[in-house]
Amino acid sequence: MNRAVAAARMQLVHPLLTFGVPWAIVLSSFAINLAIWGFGDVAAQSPGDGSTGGLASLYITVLIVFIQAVTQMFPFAMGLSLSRRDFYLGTVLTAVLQAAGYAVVLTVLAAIEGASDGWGMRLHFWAPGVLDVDNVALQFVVFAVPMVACAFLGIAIGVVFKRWGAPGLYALTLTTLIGGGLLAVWATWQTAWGDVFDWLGDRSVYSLTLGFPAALAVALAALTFLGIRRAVP
Amino acid sequence: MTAAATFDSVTMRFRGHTALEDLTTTVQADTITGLLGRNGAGKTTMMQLLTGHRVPTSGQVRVLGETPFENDGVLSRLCFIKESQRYPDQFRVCDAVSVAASVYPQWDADLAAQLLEDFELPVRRPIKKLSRGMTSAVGIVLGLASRAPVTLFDEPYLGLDAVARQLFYDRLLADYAEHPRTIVLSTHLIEEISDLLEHVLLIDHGRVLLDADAETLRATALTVTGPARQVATFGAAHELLRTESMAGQSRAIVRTRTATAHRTAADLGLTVEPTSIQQLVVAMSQATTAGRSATTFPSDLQGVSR
Amino acid sequence: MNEDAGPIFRQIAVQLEDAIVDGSLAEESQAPSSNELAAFHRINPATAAKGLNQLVTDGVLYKRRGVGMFVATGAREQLLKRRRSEFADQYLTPLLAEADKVGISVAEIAAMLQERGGRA
Repeated sequence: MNRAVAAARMQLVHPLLTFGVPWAIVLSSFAINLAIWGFGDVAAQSPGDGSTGGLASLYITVLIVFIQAVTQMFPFAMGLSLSRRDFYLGTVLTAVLQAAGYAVVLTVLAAIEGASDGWGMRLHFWAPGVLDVDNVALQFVVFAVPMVACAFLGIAIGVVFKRWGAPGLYALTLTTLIGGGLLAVWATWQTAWGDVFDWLGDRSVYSLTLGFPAALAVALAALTFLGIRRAVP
Repeated sequence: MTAAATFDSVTMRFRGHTALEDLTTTVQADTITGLLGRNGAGKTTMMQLLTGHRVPTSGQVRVLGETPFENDGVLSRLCFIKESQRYPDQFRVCDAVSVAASVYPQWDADLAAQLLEDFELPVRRPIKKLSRGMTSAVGIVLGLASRAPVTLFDEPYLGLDAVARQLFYDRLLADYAEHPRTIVLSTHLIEEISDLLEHVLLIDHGRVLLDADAETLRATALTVTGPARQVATFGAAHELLRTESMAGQSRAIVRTRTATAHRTAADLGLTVEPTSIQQLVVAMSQATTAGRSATTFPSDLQGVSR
Repeated sequence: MNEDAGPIFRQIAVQLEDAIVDGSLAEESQAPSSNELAAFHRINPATAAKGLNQLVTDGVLYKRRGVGMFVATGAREQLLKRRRSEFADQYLTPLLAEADKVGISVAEIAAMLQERGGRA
């Protein structure tokens, strides 16, 4: 276990970079939104609350950070004779702790946002739309689980790259695009789009933000562990 | 002599070529073993198998009695310094050192500090910004300070100037004398390190060509010079590796098989000189490449003006 | 160490013998340790130890437990005696072989020896 912890600490050697970049990006997105809402006086012009998707940038940046966590650290960890398992566990530990930490901050920001009626301009950046739930504990979980899923997705992509190299990434991208494309074609052919949206709409916020990401995270975790066992630094 | 590592009929096949072919050998514990061989002979593959970075296609590799693959018990006692080691971007020298300190159970911080100073490494500079030689020096610091019971160096001196290389050999010897451990050093610079070696492992085309004690090699490797016929007679009784002839005289590199070889050669009227390990290794590798046990390179220098 | 001069442990042993013969390493004084020899000559400590052990086997050095290797009393005499007996094989045999090759008779050699030996 000690060695897994050492691997986790390896990921956090430059915390300013690891944590700083995602937050810098999302905060600048927030600042821009504030400026637009403020100067544009959007609240006065459009009815209802304004939800923006800027929060997604935080999740996407975390995904990228964890791709790098694997591609950069894996060769070095193996170079120090850490086992792939220890490296994997350490990275997963970092992902979970980071998601928890971020979720705490986000929950606080969402609370302030709610209390200040959208920063005084009905801007809902930190807890847009359905992500805004009343229960604090639930709010935390709603933030944390998708983040864990994003981190695991980043780790998975990193492992694909380390195991199969650039050709592996291309293959993955191609398969995803073709798979998605085929599904779209099939849905259009079966004029099933209405059914698709109905089905999605019927899902509660919980299954969308918790169930699906959690399932994805678990699946990725298993596949990644299997994949990393034959990766060569 | 206990074995620190064993290869048991190990074959390693990659798509397209076979790196190791039914290789069986042992690495003795608490010795400095030189892993010698040409480029592509299989030295790096052997080290990758020892560290669990790769898994053999067939056969078994054991380090400290167990297979190293994903084995924390073995891996925590292993240190692998390779010339192509990549460090994370943004990692400074001090970062690599502090991470290594947290991973290697027997890490010696004082030794690390001393070595960083000896090699004049700028601790706060990102490794990405270091020259090739300095990057190699970082690896050497990590390898020596790790005090890992089994330490593997795969051509760790790439880019190091002669002064720094000598510093490496001196520090390696000094630390090894105080804290004996199993060291495997793979190298092209045979002459430079041959005095450090206790054991020599010569790999050629994925097979073991030579597996012997260094001092024994020095005692049994001879270069005999004299009349061509006498040289041939002498060579026939031993392992003749290479003969060069000119104007009726021959010079041959021979690995002797008997204890009285010196005397026999002198009696035949031949001049006998010991041969360095490098010359022996080169001769053996060439002999194998030629596909015969002895190759003659007649050189006709008649046309050379005197 | 001379890479072209055969096993290093023998070179070590010979160097120590030379020091004993010329008096710079006195009898009952301590010989350098294998680590010291290794560091000085930049060789493997095991090789240095082999050289020292060779001298112990020959009776030139002896081991004092926990302290180190010491030059045995009478070592110098012993070495001189050995070198005297090897003198003929090591120097006279090649000399006679070369003389034979170039056609110098034994009498001529004796005359040369008188002339040069007298000068020395």
